[in-house]
Amino acid sequence: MNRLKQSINTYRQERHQRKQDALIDYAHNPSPRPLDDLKTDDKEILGEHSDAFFRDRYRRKTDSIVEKIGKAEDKKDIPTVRENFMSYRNNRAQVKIDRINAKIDSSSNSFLSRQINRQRRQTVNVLATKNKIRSHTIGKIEAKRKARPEELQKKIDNYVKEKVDAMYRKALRREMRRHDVGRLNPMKRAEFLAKVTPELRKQLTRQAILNVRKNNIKKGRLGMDYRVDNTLDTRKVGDYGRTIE
Amino acid sequence: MDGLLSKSFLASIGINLDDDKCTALSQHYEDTLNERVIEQIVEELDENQLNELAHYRNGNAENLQQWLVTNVPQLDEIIEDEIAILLGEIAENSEEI
Repeated sequence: MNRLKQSINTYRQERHQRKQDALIDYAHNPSPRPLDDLKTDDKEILGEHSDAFFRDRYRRKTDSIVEKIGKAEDKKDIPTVRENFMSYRNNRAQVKIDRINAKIDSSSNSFLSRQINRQRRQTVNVLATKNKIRSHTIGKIEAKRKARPEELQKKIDNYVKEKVDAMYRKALRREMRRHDVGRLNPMKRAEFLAKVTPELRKQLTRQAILNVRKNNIKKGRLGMDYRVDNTLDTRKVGDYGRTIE
Repeated sequence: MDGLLSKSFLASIGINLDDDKCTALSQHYEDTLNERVIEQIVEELDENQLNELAHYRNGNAENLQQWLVTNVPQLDEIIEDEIAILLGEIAENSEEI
């Protein structure tokens, strides 16, 4: 037990001695950095009796920071890549502005004002013509609308309303299909449509129309004698010509 | 008259044409309807159904009709809508026809 106490005491004395030696060493070997560079003193931060190891470590770190600050200070006037680019861009813009200014300075005022006036006049004319055409077209449509008998106009409005409703239902179906994952991929659909023969196209439509034909015949919209002639290549009667591809 | 549109319908919206022009307009209407309907039918099908449909190119009309009714449940609605859209377009442009 006594031997243990003795060894602990010995260790403590040696440690104390090492600290004293470090302090003396630190006092005789100060940091090479100028004191003015330090904002704070390491003795104030670490204390008078701090370990020499930590003091040395702190000193080296602060030295390194001071060195970095010095380097940064030296480079502060050297432009970075971004600054170089910015100045190049600004210079280019300035060069352009100068060039345009030079052109303006060298040309006569009358020439410039004539150009500007001409461009302005052209714009105004184009706009006026567009407005004139638009108002004329609207006027014609309105005049026709007013000239129609009221009963006829009601019928037309009714058909247009039905059309809009049908378009709405069509859009709704499309939207529902869009969310249906199992449906056909658009590319495959386009490929099929490109390959489908006119005969199949007509046959399909005819068969499809037959389903709803009775109602439409009752309404008097579709003709009673509707038939499909698959042998025709062209259809041209009166003003309405159409080639079957 | 062998066109799809009835002459009485055209007359009801103020379109009075002679027989030839009326037939031509009707056939033009039919062609446009063909294109739109086929596109809508194909849109409704999946890949397998599309392959099945391709086999009907030279098949008989009755089988095709049956197949369409079975595989395109919204067929009636599609046709009705396409007809209504086309009739509406004709009615809208009745002054220019």
